[in-house]
Amino acid sequence: MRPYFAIIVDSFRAAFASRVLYILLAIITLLFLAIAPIRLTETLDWKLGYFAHMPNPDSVVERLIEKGKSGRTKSVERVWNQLSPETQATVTKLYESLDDSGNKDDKGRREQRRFAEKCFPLVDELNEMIADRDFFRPDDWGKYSINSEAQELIDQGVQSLSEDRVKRLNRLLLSKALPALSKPTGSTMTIYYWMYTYDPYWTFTASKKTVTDVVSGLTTVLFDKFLLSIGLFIGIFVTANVIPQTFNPGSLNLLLSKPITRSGLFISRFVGGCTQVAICSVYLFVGTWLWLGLGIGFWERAFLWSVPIYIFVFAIYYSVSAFFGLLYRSPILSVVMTVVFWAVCYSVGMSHLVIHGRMQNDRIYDPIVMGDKAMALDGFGNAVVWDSAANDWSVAAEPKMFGGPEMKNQIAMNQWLITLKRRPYQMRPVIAGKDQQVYAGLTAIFPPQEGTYRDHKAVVGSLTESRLAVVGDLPRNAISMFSVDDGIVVVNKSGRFDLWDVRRKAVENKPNANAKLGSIGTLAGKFSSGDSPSKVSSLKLIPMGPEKPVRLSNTFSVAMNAATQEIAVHRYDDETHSIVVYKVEPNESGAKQYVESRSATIDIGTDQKMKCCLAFADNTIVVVAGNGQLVTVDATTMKPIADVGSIETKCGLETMAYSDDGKWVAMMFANQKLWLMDVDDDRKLVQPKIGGQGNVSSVSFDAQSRLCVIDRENRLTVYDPSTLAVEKRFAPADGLFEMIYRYAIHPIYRVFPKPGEFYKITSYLSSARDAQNDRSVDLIGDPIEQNPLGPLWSGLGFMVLMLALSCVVFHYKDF
Amino acid sequence: MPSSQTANNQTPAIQVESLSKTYSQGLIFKKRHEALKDVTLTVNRGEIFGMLGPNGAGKTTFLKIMLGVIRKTSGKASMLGLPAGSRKGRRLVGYLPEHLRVPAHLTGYQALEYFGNLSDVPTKVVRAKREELLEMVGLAQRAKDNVRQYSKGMLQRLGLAQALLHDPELLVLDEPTDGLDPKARAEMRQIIRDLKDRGVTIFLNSHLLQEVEMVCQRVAILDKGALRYCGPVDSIGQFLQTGGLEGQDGSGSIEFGLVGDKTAIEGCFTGVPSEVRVEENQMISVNIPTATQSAIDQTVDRLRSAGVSIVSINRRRVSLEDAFLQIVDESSFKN
Repeated sequence: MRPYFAIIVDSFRAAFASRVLYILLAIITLLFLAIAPIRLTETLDWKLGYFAHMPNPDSVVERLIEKGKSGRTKSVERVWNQLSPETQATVTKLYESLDDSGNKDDKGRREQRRFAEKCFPLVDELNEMIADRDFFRPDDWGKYSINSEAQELIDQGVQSLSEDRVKRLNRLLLSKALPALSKPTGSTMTIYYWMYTYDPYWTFTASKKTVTDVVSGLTTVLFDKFLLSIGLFIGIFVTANVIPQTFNPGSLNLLLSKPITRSGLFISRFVGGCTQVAICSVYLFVGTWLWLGLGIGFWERAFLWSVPIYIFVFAIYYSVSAFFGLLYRSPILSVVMTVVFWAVCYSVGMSHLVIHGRMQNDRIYDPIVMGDKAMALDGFGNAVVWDSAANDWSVAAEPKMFGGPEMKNQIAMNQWLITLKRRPYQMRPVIAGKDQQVYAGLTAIFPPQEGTYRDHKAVVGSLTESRLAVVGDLPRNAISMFSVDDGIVVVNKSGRFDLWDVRRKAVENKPNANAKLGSIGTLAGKFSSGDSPSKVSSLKLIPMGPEKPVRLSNTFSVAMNAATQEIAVHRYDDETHSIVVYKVEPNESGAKQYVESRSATIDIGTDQKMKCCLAFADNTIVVVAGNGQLVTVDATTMKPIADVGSIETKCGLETMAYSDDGKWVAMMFANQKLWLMDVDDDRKLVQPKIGGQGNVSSVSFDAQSRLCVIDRENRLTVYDPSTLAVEKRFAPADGLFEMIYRYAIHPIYRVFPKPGEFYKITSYLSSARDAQNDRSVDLIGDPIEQNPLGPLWSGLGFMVLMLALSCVVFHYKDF
Repeated sequence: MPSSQTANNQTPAIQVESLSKTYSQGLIFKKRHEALKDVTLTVNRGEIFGMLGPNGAGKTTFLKIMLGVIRKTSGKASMLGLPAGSRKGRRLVGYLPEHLRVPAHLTGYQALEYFGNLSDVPTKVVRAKREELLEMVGLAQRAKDNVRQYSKGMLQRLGLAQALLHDPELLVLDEPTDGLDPKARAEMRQIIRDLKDRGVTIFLNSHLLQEVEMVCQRVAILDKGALRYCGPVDSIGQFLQTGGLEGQDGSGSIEFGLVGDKTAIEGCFTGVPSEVRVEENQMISVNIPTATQSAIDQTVDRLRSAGVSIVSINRRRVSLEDAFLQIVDESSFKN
């Protein structure tokens, strides 16, 4: 290795002897000098005010007595024990007065103020606690009771913290122990720009998060738009001569007479060529990182990843430059060919972005399969049915109502320019009734000139006739529907259940004066054989309880066991996640009502508020939390089931489905991969080997408990979940457009370097990855880079290919 | 001084048989040029071997094949018993190229470290040797200077020093005295002779025929890719007379400077091929082919008996330059 190492060392020497390097370093130094005077000072909020920070003193008193004095909660007990006996006595007295008053909500304002004034000694002592460096004891705070900011301070070592930071930590801990105290605001940042004096040149104030976000965004933009484009070309210009000058006869003959291989010589020269850029980038990025840390307190270690990433991107282009330098021994031609290559990469990337976005708009979701008929919802919320004659999906109903041809044109244009995202947690259609009709809740949007107006329309139709019609208005906050024997249970966001008796006719309503009902009429006439708009009505819904509803976060935070009609919901209350199961019971008048049957707390790795999605299959309740945690609970004993396995997706759940026979649970995540749980087979969890994994849009089960998967935008495949054999496929034939994309642009894009996407790696390493590994972050609904490190692999592959090609040429070429 | 890395020291330093090289140019319409045609020669270990030839004769091509810079088209070529151009072989060879380019940012010391490392010599060893080598090539005083400040001659000296860093068994010098002043040339010749005395085989490629004649024991003359002569420098005259026999000893003529009667003088050389010429100062000059000492003594006796005064007797050799020009001219004529 000595000879090759010598070549690389020589490149370093050459770099340090180069004037160009010093010019670049001087430019970077000037940049540092320009930004160096920028400083940020942080003002931490920790003080506890008498009124401002204790809006509900009675709740504080109540918690101190019920959780602290009784020793039920360790953190509150710690606070209680730190109080002086006098204050403890005062608090106890205040608590007793609460009991006396009965209903504390009914206290008058004057009485409330008097109560708060009696709490002043308590506030004073809490402020003393805040200043106490020894207040925090790890054993007193549970593993989830500390938020990330407090944890960060604890990790730094409490004894080494400044006084301000100790106070901030204790204030955060107090807020955790006593949630009724108002949460401290984020720290306040003041930006200074010093010029010759130590007085602020100009200042403005922003929260630390805002500053961090702005700085993070700015550095990303600078990295992408400046360094990965202009900076890259400067590097290419500077190093274009390294390889061609190797082929100078007086130099090459001597080099080749040495006991070294040609490939080794070329690779060493290539690595050497990267050194000049490496020196500059290390200086630039490490310098910027130090400034970000020392100057504005933004210590982001992931920012240092910019150094290897930048060198890597440069190396990809440099491999092209080196190849042409070897072939033609001309620095100018090397630069020209590299620029051409960049242009090709850019064009491929742009083509892919535009066409892929366009194709995304053809995606369909929430499939329903009945025999050889199928229905789904498109990204606009339109219902589409499978037209076997045309071998394509066709719109079955159009409850979206636009203002006229202009708006339709605009929508059509937008379809080309933007990627349509599916509305999150769109209510899924169900099949119900004796005649097995399809019932769906779709959103109608009225024209903006009439005032934006949305409404939930219930549509009903038959797949046999491939037609759906609007039959009435669903409650606006309806999020889920479940088919039961006597109709459909409609669940709304407030956690109340209603029975929609599909056998009964809807009640007619007066037309809405604010809505352009003519549009409804047109649609209704089109799809429901002459129904007029005035006949659009509210549905007859029968309330089914429960008495104490639980507010629901999304469509999937509620699940129904198809066999028992029990409903499980996710509840978040008092920093605790739990599952509540409701069962159906007749009330005094004989009507079916849902009543709470049993509940259990679940450990999802955090006490932060988080969306949780549920499946209720057979005797198993499956919970997928927003942080990716999978929990299974025995529905009878409500005890967690251990050793189910985990899902290493590190992204949010998109769709959850379970079969009516209670045997299967399917989960689809934001990375468009599908997981399947076999409930009967010891709840084994697998990533089924089906076509389209990584490009799955939606999943469901049909009445026969067959797995229905939509992939490749609009291909619906019905599988036997046991064998994964394909039983039926509804797949439109690819048009020319799709074929060009699928067989030309996409493969080229996969192979080609993606210069425009490398900044995403830095973003991923600096924030997204942390979020993905942070149990307190809810990933559901968050956009996710499907393959953030993808550009790295394609770039690496391309570079290796170019280097291999260069080595082969060098090996067989006479000089 | 030479390393003993080869397993077999009995093999010739260079051995080629029917070596040919044809260059092709162009992608579709290929233009071919035969740079070497069926060359067969041997360079023995421990000798100083010169390769001569006009521009475009194929000398550089020959060297490049031996060093692995280019590949042969056909034939066999070996160096120190190893295939020509092999990495193992290159480890045993020191090479001074014609137009040496040393990275301009290096000093003399750094350049030796760089080239030494390229020859797989540890930096420590290079540092131990470099003083001696730079002293030998007369560059010790400028070792810390940047090579950017070196003259062409100084670069040649540095090139020679780097070629010797790894104690090569074979030293290939391409125009080593190019750019050197007369004193430096004499020093370079002495270095070459010293190296030979230490057992290093030296392959010298040069345009300067006198230099080659002065230091080389054997030479090869290439012209238009073909080998015209390969043998001792001293035998080149014999070769010219006999039409190309390698290895015969003795060549040239004997010149007598005489004063006396021309007829008497001509009588003394009866039966001997001679060339008689009357000079301006009335002296008669007679050239006869080289003969044995007894034949010369007899001729002297005859001349003295005939009353002819002998002013001078000189043995005249055929110079390498004469031979080279004759060989090259002949081949040009034949072609």
